[in-house]
Amino acid sequence: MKRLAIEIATVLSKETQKRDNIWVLDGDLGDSYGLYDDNQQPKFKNFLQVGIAEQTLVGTAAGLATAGKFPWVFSFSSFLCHRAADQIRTCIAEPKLPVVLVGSHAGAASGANGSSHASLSDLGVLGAIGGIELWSPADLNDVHTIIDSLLTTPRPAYIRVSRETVTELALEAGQIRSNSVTGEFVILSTGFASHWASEAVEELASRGIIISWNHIAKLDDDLLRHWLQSQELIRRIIVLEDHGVVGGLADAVRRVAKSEIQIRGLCWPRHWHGESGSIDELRSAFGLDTSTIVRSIEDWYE
Amino acid sequence: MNTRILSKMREQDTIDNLTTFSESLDPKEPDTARRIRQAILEYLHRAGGGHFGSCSSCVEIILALFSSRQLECRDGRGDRLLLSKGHASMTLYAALSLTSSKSLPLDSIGSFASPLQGHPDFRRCDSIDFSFGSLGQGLAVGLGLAIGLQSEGIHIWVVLGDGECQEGMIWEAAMLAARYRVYNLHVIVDANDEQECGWAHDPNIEQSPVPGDAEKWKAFGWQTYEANGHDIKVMSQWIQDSVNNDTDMPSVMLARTRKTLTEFAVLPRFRNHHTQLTEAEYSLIANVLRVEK
Repeated sequence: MKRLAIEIATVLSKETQKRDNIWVLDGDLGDSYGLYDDNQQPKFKNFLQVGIAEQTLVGTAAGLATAGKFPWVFSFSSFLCHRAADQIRTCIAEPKLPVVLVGSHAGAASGANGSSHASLSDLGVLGAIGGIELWSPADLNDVHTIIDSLLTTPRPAYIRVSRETVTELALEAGQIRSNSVTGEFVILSTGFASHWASEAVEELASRGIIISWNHIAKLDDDLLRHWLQSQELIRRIIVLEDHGVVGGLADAVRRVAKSEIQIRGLCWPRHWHGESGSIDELRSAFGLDTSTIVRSIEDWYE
Repeated sequence: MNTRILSKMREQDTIDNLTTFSESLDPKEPDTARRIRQAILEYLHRAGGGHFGSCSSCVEIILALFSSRQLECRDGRGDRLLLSKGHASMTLYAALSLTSSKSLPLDSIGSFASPLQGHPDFRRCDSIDFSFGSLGQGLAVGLGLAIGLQSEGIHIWVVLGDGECQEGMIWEAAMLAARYRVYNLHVIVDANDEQECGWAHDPNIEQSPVPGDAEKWKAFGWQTYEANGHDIKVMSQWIQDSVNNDTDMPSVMLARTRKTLTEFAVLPRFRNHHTQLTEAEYSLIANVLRVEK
């Protein structure tokens, strides 16, 4: 079981030993996602602890990028995408600076922390701003895909990861990862919710329902549109995501899918901002536990 | 004054200005500031209005930097100049256009497809080091640039407004810069002691944009200085001293300035920040600037 923010830090740490121009900046939460080693030293040659100051975290990264560096910025998704939204808009997105934003603790899982630490509108905020690539990895396989891509061609990007630990999805690597089943009914999922989808697909299979499922690692309208155009059989899509109603994967699918395709979204409710509790408790409370998801899919599938 | 006479005066001003503005002026010359204020008046008025006062208060600050340092924006290499108070863009555009070989289309400021956006945009204009407009962001960007370019011996000069210093992000970055002893980062606060509205509605409330600004900057660990922000010689000397300073701390100059185009034609308080001038006001200020030495 892996916590993906820590995996990003680990992979990046190895890469920075080979590359002088990568900088890692932290908003004073680095112990939560493995930016420090066992001796409490940063794992990166070029490291800047900015402290509890998300706006300056993003602004300073923009300055470093303007100086020709490639900054990777770490914080919790909730603070990074909301407190520093204006700096992301004016200092990163508009000038197209190659800054990578890593938002840990994205989604509803905040442990005991509660609503202030949950992040259910990050994709909505950054998607509305535009100009920032949106990545929503589900496992280490995705992490490698993303880091390889962003180190090869540095560009403005946001990577959202849950605080929950995860296993590897049994899907081939890629930006859109399929279980190789095709049909008129398809599950699309992204990020941590792809593990909910995986559980549901497995449960449905045990009941004799073999269903098409695709994990979306990169939220990009053009990518989705082209993929949907290549999937001529699809008539119904059910979307699973660890995000609020507005601005996530379901909204992206609605933007790009043909009008005859029916779309339903399973996600956290509108006007709810998160609360303390285990992710299992939260999923059960809001109808996103595996049995309820399976029931929702079965009801529509039949 | 009737409209016909006013438009004739305006036409004459425009002809004068277009002629003189094609010259390349020495930023050290005392009269250059007046010529830049003429350009600010002329082109912002033609554009339908603008930040006349905010532009005017930082003219000598920009000229002191131009006089003292080789700058990427003006000379193609050297230090970086970040105009964090981006609403004073016309000052930077005019100073670049009038004191260097760069010829910027000043009459297009703020118009569609112009490289001279109302607030400076470095993706649209090569002569700008970073985009600004959303206040409070320049110091953090300058901090990143200063760290990134420190090994190359480059200094970063951030021009802030004193009203802008009400933004919390300024103090986040100020604290961080002192913590890391970023000695090649310098701030000049255009301390014109005004902001758009402020608390002018109630004289019983503290009026200064940042009360006790010098104490605040000192408390944040910065080498802190104050001077008349319209005195190019004094400002230039400070700029040189800051570069040669053997302390390893960032430095700030609180440049005390005046937020009007001229001492002799003062607009009502709420119009000092951003306004449209009537033709009579324009002519009056243009006349004063024509003779003011």
